[in-house]
Amino acid sequence: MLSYSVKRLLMLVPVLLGMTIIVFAIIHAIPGNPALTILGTKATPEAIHNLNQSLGLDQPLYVQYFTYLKNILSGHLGTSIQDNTSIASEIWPHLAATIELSFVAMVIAVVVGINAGIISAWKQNSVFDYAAMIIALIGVSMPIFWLGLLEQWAFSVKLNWLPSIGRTDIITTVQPITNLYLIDTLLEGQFAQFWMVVRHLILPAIALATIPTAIIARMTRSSMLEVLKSDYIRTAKAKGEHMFWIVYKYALKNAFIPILTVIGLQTGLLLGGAILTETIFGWPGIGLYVYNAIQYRDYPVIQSGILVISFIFVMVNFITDLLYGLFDPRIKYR
Amino acid sequence: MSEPLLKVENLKKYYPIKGGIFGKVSETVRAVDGVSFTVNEGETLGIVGESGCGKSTTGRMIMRLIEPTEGSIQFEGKDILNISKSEMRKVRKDVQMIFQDPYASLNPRQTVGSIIEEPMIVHGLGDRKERRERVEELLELVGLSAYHAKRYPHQFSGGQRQRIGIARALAVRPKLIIADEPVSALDVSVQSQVLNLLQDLQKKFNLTYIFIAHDLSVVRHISNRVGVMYLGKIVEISDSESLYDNPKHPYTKALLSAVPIPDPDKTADRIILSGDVPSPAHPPAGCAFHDRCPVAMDICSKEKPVMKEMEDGRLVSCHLYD
Amino acid sequence: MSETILEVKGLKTSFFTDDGEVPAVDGINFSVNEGEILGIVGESGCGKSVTSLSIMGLLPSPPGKIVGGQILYKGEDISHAKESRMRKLRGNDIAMIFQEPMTSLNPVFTIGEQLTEAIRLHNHLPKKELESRAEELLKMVGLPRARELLKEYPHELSGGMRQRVMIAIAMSCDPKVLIADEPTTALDVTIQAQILDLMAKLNRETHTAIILITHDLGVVAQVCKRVVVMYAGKVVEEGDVRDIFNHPSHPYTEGLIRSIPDLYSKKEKLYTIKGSVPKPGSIKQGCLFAPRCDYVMDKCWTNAPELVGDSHKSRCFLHQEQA
Repeated sequence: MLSYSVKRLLMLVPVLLGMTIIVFAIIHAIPGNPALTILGTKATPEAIHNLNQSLGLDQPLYVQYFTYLKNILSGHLGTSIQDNTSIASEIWPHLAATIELSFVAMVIAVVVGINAGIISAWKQNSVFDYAAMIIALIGVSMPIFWLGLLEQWAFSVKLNWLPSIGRTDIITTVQPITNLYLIDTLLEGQFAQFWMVVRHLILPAIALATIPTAIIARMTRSSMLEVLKSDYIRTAKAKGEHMFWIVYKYALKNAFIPILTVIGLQTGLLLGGAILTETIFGWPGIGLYVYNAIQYRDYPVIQSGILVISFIFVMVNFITDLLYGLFDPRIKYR
Repeated sequence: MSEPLLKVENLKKYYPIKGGIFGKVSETVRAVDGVSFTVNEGETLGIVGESGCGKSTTGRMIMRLIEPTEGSIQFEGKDILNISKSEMRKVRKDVQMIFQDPYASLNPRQTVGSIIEEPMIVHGLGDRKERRERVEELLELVGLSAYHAKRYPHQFSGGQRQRIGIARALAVRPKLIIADEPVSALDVSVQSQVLNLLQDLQKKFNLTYIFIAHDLSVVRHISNRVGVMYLGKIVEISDSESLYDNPKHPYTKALLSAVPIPDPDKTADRIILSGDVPSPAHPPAGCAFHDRCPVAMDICSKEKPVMKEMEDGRLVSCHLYD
Repeated sequence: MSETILEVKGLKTSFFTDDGEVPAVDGINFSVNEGEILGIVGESGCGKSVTSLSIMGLLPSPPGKIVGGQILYKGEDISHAKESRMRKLRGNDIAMIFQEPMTSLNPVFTIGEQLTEAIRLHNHLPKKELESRAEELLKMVGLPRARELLKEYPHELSGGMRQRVMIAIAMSCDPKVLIADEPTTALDVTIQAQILDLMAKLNRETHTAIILITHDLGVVAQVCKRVVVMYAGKVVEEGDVRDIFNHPSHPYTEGLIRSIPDLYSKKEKLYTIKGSVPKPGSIKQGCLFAPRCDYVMDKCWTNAPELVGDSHKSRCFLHQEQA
């Protein structure tokens, strides 16, 4: 297991290096002079020259890359063109917002998806099965922005049950400790604030959870159907075990590997790909951060945002790989 | 006696297992570990052994479905491991195979007629009309009817599918047929039909068989000579009469005594071997059978026995007969 | 004579498919006495496995359904018993082992977890005793290193060892009846000999009755006291193992015995039963074996014979005319 983890960790090195090269290349893939793009067409030659120098753009490409790599490794992600703030210190609060939202969304997706899938497989061809699978089909095909707008219209505008935008009320400021507000408000003992944060999370989390829930439900169903037909399930029945435990204990652990794969992939996608949901719900996460940067052509921010998102994606997959062994002892870590 | 049809010498197949951080070969599975035998024209050589003994791998290496690690295979005097592609094509026509699972080895989307016709097309035999006639002839030869050519494999029972497999093998008029567990998936009443068919065909076309099976009674019935394999090696090989009536190697003895006899009055003294067959990745030192052998001696754990010819011409690989 | 523990009376089990009702088991009768080994022998599709699943209440349903007859366990009809009642019987009173030892154990739970499950379900032993009982069971089925084995997973064991574990699981609650469905078919001969030996030993020591379902007449001859021969969903012959093998009275039984190649002498040509097993429900009239029978008579095509006889029963007009 340890040798496998080390091996897998070593394999991450070329992946991460490749990632930095691609991200580095982005700024050079923009047609024309980056400085010109940044400063606009009316910039003076002097200003362009100065910017080129300060960005190091007059150096040979490989020198630029190694400088860039050195900066990342020492935690310097550069400064934002838009407001001259340090990206490294700006990015965490945004990332935390995304992590909090994605986490809640994934909890919903896993709990609802797995249970729906299990019951569909257990009661195959029942009304529940058909209904769940039709809903799942709608779930994977539904555009998220549309669902988000529907939610806002129904639960905020019409019913006025839940807030439709932001992480908090405009008037409240949560004292940031970890920047994960669910934790911060509890640490501060601010239970009213905690409830307010929860209420803000519900609508975007449900919108974000829709696709993963549907995908997890479908994967769970097909994986469980396969397992429920197997000989060892028959053995468990022959022992006189109750069907509920056969399904939830014996079958689920076997069916879990493909489900885990899907959960891993979806988690990675949520953490990076929540731009749509975040813009609709005004959620100050990494998606919105990058989205705003794109509008201002704030290339250093875009670059760093993409780097962080891809880094998280790679790490989530790495963790998923390590988790396989927990569910299937046959997976040998060589 | 004339030159044997097939001569296999010191045939080996090793599979490396890679492990560790840098993927170096950590161990080697010796699936087949130095097998030698000859098959004469018109005879049936049976190869018996338990699962994992390497009997199927041996059969597949003769077909060159698996490339041997070492050794030589001579078919009609030619070393088929070192011949040109066009010569190999000829050998492929002369050597055909029948598989265990008749269903898995027949393409479910092809009609029986085109399944049987296919090897003839591959080897460029006859024109369309001649091939069709040959298909009908073959179907009747194996006890099916000409009209079956238009049907699909799933419309047949297990025994009938095996007949189709036999017809396909016969299509190109081979000299040697390697039958890998051809009856083990069949019911008893159908098994005897297929065995009889194989014997009839052998007489009719002077076919040579290598009959690979785990069922000792079946092998005795069909074979002239029998080789017993254990952990990638042949431990005993001789004509089937003397091998079954007077087995020499302790493993052969144990294997024969383990067969349940369909006669309640014959409860033979069973030699019950302890434990399982060891992994071919870690065969015991010395004689591979010594850790389960009821008559093992000191030397057995130290030295590998070599194949020795007994006075009656049988070959046994055991220190008992040093 | 010892007491009857399980009795199957006129059991009919059908599968309901798109083509209508297909009778897999068509009115079979047999009984199992305490502590005996009864063999049920037949070829694929004869209904022997469906019989065992009907007894266990484990028929895949739909499409399988018991449509008639009774299954009496200690006099209680369990053919339509409630699921909760069957759960109490399964694993506790009637246990079962299956053909495929490689796939019958759950790959992601340890041997110990799987072995103690039935005991936990039925006996509620305290945790400490549970482990020592599991160890004891593994020793009983002849597995070495019992303590370590408890923590291992099925894939670390060979096929023979897994079948021993399956037997240990089945025996864990001291069942009255053990149904063994082709328990050695997937195993090599030398391992088969070990497992059959073990089953005979357990039968002697624990007095558990065994229903041994197999296609292998050799296995039946070596292990069973009484034999039921099934063909196309019906019992065609039943009797003492010696009577069956030495004086088979149904042409099917006779044909089966004669078509096995002999290990001790070489015959020129094997006897064969012509044709193949009919599809269930395809023969509507007369004796089901008539199309394959060497002794077929006119009335065999129109009339279906009954199973008659005292200790040696047979379903054939030949036998009935002699009687």
